[in-house]
This record gives sequence, structure tokens and C-alpha cells, in this order.
Amino acid sequence: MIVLDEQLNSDSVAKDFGAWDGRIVTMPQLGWAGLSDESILRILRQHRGCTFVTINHRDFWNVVDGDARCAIICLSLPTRREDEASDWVHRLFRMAPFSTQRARSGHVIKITAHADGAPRVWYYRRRSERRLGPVPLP
Amino acid sequence: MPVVTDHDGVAMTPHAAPTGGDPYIRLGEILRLRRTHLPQKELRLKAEPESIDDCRIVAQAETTQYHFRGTPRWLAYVDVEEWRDHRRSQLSHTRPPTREDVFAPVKIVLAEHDWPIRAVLSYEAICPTRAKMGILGPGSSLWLAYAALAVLNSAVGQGLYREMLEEQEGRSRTPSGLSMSVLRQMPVAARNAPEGQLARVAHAAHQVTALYEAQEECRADFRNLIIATRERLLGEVCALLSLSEEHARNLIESVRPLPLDDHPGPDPQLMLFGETRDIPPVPPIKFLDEEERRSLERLRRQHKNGGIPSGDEGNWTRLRNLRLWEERLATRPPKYLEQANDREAEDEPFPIENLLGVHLPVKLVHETISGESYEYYPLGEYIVAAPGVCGGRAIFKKTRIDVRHILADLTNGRSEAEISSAFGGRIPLAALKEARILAAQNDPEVFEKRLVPAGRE
Repeated sequence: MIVLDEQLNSDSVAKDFGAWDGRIVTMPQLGWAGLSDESILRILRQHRGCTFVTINHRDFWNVVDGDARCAIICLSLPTRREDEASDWVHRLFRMAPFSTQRARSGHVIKITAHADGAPRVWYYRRRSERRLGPVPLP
Repeated sequence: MPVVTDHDGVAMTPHAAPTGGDPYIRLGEILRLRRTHLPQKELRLKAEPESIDDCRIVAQAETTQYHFRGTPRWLAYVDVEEWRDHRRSQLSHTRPPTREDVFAPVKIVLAEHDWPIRAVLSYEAICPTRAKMGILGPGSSLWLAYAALAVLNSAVGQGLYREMLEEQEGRSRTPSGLSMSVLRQMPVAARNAPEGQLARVAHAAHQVTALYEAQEECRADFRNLIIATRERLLGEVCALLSLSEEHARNLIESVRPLPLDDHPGPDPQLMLFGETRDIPPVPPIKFLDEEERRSLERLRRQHKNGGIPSGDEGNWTRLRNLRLWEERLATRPPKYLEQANDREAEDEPFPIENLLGVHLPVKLVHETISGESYEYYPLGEYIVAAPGVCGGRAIFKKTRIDVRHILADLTNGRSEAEISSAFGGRIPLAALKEARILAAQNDPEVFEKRLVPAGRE
């Protein structure tokens, strides 16, 4: 299940995600709409195996630890380019380290734009552990 | 017949370590290998992971070539540490895997029994009960790790291990545990193999791994595809190791009795190292036929335009899953997993009282919504800064929608009506007007900064 943060909750974005992946829900569907960043983690833990996608990367990347029950994907993507979100996540899911829910669970993943056009992937499990990346998005 | 020669022009075999420059990249160069032994019956196992400290426990019998089988079970790594500290003096032969190994980003797990050698490359947190565990060193090539996986699981790898074992230790089997010294000496690739050949082997080994995963996830039978891909990979491995045709065939014959999926027929087509540097990419693996592809496109259009007709949902899910796995199989694994130095600078907060267009003093408001406490500093009727929500930046009240995102939308020419409708009316037109007024009076950078605590101070 993919959980979209509330900023990504426009109809077109949800449809883009839904066109290629399984169940798509938005954060307001799982909890109250104005949830704090910490409450989001609490809710994600209740939905085992889910993948949370946000464009508020600064509130999660380097701020939270990964959780064994879910994956957190932070897109460094402005709202005006939110229609690229599903493409980035779709491409991430093709990558060997993230192609299965079990492999990506426990990770906090960040995707950033890059000057050469190929976005880059960064990731870690715990803030105290080493970060890996940048790996070009396929 | 192509042969690899050392600097003196003497014909080499992969197991004869040269006195001069080694023509082979060896397993011990790319992986840090350790033995692990952990009696699982003394540990408390769980059906699901519960914390980031949990790892999947894998028994030797669950380690098969390219994948782990069986229902996953988990344990907290702290239990392993406690157990080790408690039993250290009593059981000298046990050796639980280290935390660093269990949580390493990439590892190869090798079952101890060698009939056949069974290796799995995993990105998960894995705690094997009885295995050799190889961890990719910092800066090492992931492609070489996949090549190691391919060599170890292949018929030629099995044959090479036995040849080297016979030569170095005078025995042909290691039923009680793989020989560490032979493993470290196992060739992974000829040093002069073209990078394109390494890429092909890495990609094909990834395809085999992914096919096993796809088979499990899609509950489909891809056995024929797996066998065909493994046979092709066997040829690629011969090319990567620069084996002579005679040697390759002898190695394959020497392990015929082994239960392997990549045993070719009596006269196998092997890709042997040639002069070519123009190596074509790995051919794609297709799960869908043309008719299924057309069905998928039709269903995708229907999904975009309103919804999938009832009765077609199952087919839509199945075709979409298979298409996704096709794409995964077509994607080569990354070449490297580099260690990053990616510490972002800490955001400086912006004092809320310095905001223009806000009625001062701004006081914290407490509300209870759906049983949840909601605290915020009102910056207007619709715009607030709520501690712990969206990093404490300006947001629309009772949402997680940043004002900065919406301002960017407006700047890019999206109309207010369009924005309001895209968010299902959760941002009323009056709220957008308020955002415009606030933005007109303040530096746009203000909306990028936290105005109140981000929530974790």
C-alpha cells in the first residue's frame, strides 16, 4: 500500500500512482488531516508494509529513523512538479534494493533532482548509521 | 581457444594463484567473509518485524540458490547480543553475526553445506543461523557482488570450488562447512574482462534473483524462465571468468550429479571470452503476451477515466503486477552503493513575531479534533503554524499542506479555483486569498522556514 502525504493528495497525483501500483491511500484517509509529523509515523506503523511518500523531505529525511514496518520516501520535488512524483517512485521500485516491500521496509529514502536530469537516490536505516547514495534513479 | 595468461605468458587457471599479478578478482577482495553460527532454538522469534532493530532469521535449510524460502521469521538483534553475552563462556564454537553484518546494506549469505553451494544476495537485515556471510566493503562494486552470486551458484562455480578444495586441502567435499580459505580465493571475474561483460552478468544475476521473488509475489510458476535465464547466465559467467571451453565443460561435467537449475544439456552453448568489446545488453524477460499488453493498456485508460469495471479488478491487478516485475527485471542493479556525506544544514527558525501582516501577539491555541489535540499559532483565519506539523512551517489550518507549495503553484500560473478543487475544497478560496496577502508582505523565504518548533526539540 502506498500512503501519500496530504500535499500529494490531489486527484491527478493519486491517479498517476494508481495507474501502476496497488492500493493508494492518502494520509487524511488514514488519520485526521492535520497530523503532526510524529503522528504520521505512529499511523504508518499500524499499516504494516506500507510505503509513505512525501514532498516535505526536510521533515523526515535526517529527522526520523526508519521503521521495520514501513518505508518512507522523501521527494525533493516542488509542488509544481508533483506530477513527476509517481514517475520517481515508480522508477525507485524498479531498483534492486527497493523492488520489494520487504527490502525497502526499514529505510528512509530520499530522491533529489540532479543537473544531468537523472534523479539521485539516498537512503539510510538509522540516523546514526551511514547514509548510502547517491545512486542514479534508473 | 582463448586462455588467460599471466605476465609471463603462462596459461592460467582460476584456482592457480599466480606469483605475479593475479588475473582474477577474488571473492575475498570484494566481500568481507565471516562464519556465523547461532542456535535459533534458544531465541524468541516473531512472525513480523516490530522495530528497526529486528532482523530476519534464516536457517541453513531456508537458504537456497538466489533466494530464501519459507515463511520469514524475525528476532530482535538485542536478544542475540544478550544471548551471546550470557553464553560466551559456555559455547566457544558459536559465533553470532555481528550487528554490522546483520544490518549491512548488502550481503551475500552462503549456506554452510556445499551440496550444492547456495548463495543469496540480500538487502534485508538478515541473521543466518549457520552460514558464511559476506559483506560488501565500502566503495565496492555492487556489480561484482552480483557476479560473485552468479559464480557461486553456477555449475562452473561449484566445479571450481571443488577443484580448488582438492588442490588446497586434498578433499572434494566440505559437508561440515564451506572452506573459508577456498571461498576467499574463488574467482569472481577476470581482471581484464570488459566492463560490459560484468554488467551483463550483474544484470542477469539480478534477473534470476528477481524471478524467484516475482514467482513468490505473483504466485506464478516461472520455473522455465528461471532455468532458461540461469543457463544463459552460466554462459555469461564462463565469459566473465575467461574460462577456456574445455575447462568450462569439464567443470560442468564434474558437478552433473548436483541438483542445479543451470545444468545445460550435453552440449551447452557457452559464451566464451572473445575479442569483442561491443557487448549487447541482456535481453528483456517478458511475462505478458501482446493480447495481455493490450488489455493492460485498455484497463489503464479506464482507470484514468473513472474506474475499472467490476469483474476486471483481479485482471487489472495481475497484469499491472506482471508489468511492474517486467520493468524490475529490465532494470540493471546500480553499479555502486556509495557512502554519502549528506548532512543538510539545520534550518534557522524565523521568529514568528517578525512576520508582517500578522496580528500580534500570536498566542498558542488549543483545540480537540476527533479526539486528537491540535495546537497552533494563528497567522490569519486560515493560515497557522502548528508545532510538529510540517516542520513548524506556515500551513493551512487543519491540513498538512504547506503555504510555500501553494504559493509556488500560484506563481506558476495555476488558478485559485483549480488549486482549491485539486485539494477537494480543503483549501477554500478565501484561504488562498489570505496566502496571497501574507506572501505579498513577506519575503518568500519566510515560508520555507520553521516558525514554531518542528516537534522534536
